[in-house]
Amino acid sequence: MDNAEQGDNAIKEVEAQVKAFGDDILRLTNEVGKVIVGMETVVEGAIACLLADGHALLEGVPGLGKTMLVRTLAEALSLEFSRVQFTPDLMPADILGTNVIQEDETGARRFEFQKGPVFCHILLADEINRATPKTQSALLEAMQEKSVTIANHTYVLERPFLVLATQNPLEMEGTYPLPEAQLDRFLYKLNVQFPTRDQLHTIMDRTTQSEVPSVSPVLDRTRIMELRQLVRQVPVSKHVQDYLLRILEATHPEHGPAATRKYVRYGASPRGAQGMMLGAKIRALLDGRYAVSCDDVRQVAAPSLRHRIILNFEGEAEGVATDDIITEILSEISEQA
Amino acid sequence: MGQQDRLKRIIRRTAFRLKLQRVAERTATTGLLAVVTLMLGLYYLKTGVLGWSDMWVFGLIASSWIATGVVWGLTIHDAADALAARVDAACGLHNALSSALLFSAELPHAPDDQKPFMEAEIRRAANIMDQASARKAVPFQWPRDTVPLTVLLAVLVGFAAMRIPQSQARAVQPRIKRIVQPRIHIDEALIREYQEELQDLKEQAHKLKDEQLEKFLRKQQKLLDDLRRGKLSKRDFLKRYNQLMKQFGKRQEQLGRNIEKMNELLSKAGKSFEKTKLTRKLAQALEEKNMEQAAKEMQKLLHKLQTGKMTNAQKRQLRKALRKAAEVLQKHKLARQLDQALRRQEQRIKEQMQRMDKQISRAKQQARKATNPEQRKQMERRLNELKNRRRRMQQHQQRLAAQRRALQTLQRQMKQTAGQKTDPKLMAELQKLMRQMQRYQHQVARSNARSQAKMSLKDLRELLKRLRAQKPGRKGRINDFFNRARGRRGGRGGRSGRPGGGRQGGRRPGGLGPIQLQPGGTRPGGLQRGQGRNGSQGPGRPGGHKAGSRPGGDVNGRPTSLDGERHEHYVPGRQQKGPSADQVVRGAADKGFTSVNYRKLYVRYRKLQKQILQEENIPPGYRYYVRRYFKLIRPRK
Repeated sequence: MDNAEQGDNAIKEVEAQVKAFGDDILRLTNEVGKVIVGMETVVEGAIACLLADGHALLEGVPGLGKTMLVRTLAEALSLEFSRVQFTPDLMPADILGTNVIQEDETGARRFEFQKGPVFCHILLADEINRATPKTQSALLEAMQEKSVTIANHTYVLERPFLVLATQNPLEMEGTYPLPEAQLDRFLYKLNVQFPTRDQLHTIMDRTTQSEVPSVSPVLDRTRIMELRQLVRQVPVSKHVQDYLLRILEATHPEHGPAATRKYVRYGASPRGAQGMMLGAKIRALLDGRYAVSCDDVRQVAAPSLRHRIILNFEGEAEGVATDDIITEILSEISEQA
Repeated sequence: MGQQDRLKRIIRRTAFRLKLQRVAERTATTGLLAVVTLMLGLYYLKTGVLGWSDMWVFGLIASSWIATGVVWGLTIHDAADALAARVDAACGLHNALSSALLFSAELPHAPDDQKPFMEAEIRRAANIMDQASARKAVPFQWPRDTVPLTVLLAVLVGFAAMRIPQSQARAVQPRIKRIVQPRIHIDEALIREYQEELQDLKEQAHKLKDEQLEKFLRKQQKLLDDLRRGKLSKRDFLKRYNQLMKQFGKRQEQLGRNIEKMNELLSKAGKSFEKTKLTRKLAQALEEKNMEQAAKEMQKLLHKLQTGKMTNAQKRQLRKALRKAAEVLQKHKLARQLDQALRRQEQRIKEQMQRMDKQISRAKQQARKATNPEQRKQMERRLNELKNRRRRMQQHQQRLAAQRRALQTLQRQMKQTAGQKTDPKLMAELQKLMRQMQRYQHQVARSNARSQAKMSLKDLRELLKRLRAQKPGRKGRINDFFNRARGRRGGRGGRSGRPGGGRQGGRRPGGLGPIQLQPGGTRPGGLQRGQGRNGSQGPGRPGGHKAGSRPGGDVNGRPTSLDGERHEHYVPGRQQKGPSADQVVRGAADKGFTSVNYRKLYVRYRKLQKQILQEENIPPGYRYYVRRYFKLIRPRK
């Protein structure tokens, strides 16, 4: 085979991979959609976090199906799933695991590590802001390092490891809001919206009848790891990357538009740019394209940046939403430098 | 390659359209300026200020504006990837063209795992290139300034078509309109002091029979009355101020300087009287340039002579002193200089008067020749004005001559008195000398009164200047000061001084602490500058010339740094009887000033202040602060 033919074959292979990527994700979303009504953005965000090797923070009032979504996702992916309900008396050992004394048949006693719920593929940290900062940070360490260290012994978590944490924006009494440094570790923050009337009709029909929809696995762990690899191969042209970075810079009061200067205390960190870039790559692949476009960046800007922008007193006093600031930034920043 | 050529063609077309659009945009903007320039030229042409021959300048400027717009638009270049991105955005191509363009350049150096993706993207871009359109990327749009440009052009055409009657062409020439000046509103309390001073000066002028000064003071009074009634604007005030100052202008200053020199000479001559006890007081008065006192001392000498209380030895000493003084008045270097200066001044004024005479005779002829009654009236007015000026010159010449005569007469009289051997003749000549001295004292007093009147007017101007410069907050601070003085509310610590400046005597006037008058001194020690609260020194150099305007950081004041080079002098007090006082004013500074003791003390200080202001040559800016300070510390009822 000559070079041209080789190149042609490589292109065809890439085209096939991208097509397969799109098909797989479509199958996954369709499967999740059997149980979860609506919430397309949230589902897509959660899948993006899975493929980008990140974690997602879901914010929404109780009863919107957050737990159901995560459980369904785990079932559709045939991955191990754990759920931890965070409470103020929850201890780090309750999540990570602990060494317990075990007696064997001979009567000898020894310490044996009992794995906690964190040793899974998908972990639902329900109402994460109800636990104490000590417990929160234990989990957040595991999220970042993908490993757990107990009694000088490090246990590596199996990949993929996805944490989907939820928090309730209304009941703030007796909660420990996540500090900015910990919020930064979530790739996306997804807002779970109240369903529309039509969606509510469908929810009623599905949940109040005798037949409960079941989910069958569509992707396995190996395939997910392949998809992750594919995501990172997507190239980004310089001007798109520059556009992305200008958006990031604009979240800082020193460089941003009027709204940023007025309401923002600190802008997003470089992790925000990483989140945007990976999200944009996934979006490009889902759209069947081979390179990232500015549209992709715009679409993932809000979930990647909304929890990384810290408002100042004025912004908080006036009840300014970070989403509004991001919208303002996107309208101000031009694609051309 | 064919795909790349297509892509390049699209980009070139986009670049061309974009450039064209930019040129139109910039030209429209600069076109506005061009039209305004043409309108200006047309305005000057229509109003007859400029002619057709001058219009090329405006044409050139207008063309330059347009050329600037074109060049401005042409000089902006866009990168190829930016243009491709523009096409992508306009045609919804998801950055396919721009990414393909960049990837084709980066491909040889790209990581192996990304190369197939890049090639795939380039192929995708080629497939969708048909959707790309330069027209969509840069659609035609009217420049933003089209509407104002059209309106201005219409106005220009309308203005060009408008006919202005030639007779009225000059009437619409640009003129500077008189700006309406706001009236000066002045507080009665602020000018009360000037009113009192004016009254004193009026009495003095009446006593001296100086009509010119009386007239000047009447006009000054009128100015003051108009100010009180709020009739004057800043412009009006300055106009009248200048008119008044002209009357006592350079010539009056010249006379004043001559008097000063004459006083200086007399003071030198007065040293001859120092040697004997009999004439020591006369010497002191002459040294202090107090001619009134000198005349009085001479009268005392005459009285002693008349009553036979003067011994023969004393008479001899007196004759000797008079002879020496006469010699000084005649032969001293300063005397010669003064005499020459006076003669020069007289000569100059004579020449001026001769020139004036010629002008007057010319004006008379012109007035006679004038046929038009209005013109004749005008000429007569001019003639009167010239005559008045000549009269003033003549008066000045007379005064100069009087000054020269006064000095000569004094010298002659002293010499003549010294030469008398018998008592009656000595008495008669001494009496003449005394009268001569009184006449000279009269001249000095008149000159002083005129200077005072002029200075008073300058002070008034300074006050108005300061009033205008005052910020709204100043009034509040002054009120606060008064309130504290009345003990109505607690003070704002250290409000009256600027930190580090030490300009108004450290942080606070020394009057807040116990004030002590130094024995044997003529000035009260409590007013020493640089004195901070409780006698502590201010941080900056003492004796500044401006008042503080903001609170100091360290209320108690830091001690004066003594690191610099300095010379210490011990000045012992004089052990003799003299006007001395030692008094402690007890006042609770936090609650308010004292009433009775303080009032008495203030009266004494006030006299000193007036005396210093009259005698010393202090600039108006400083005088203002001295006056203001004394006004502020004035005791309240």
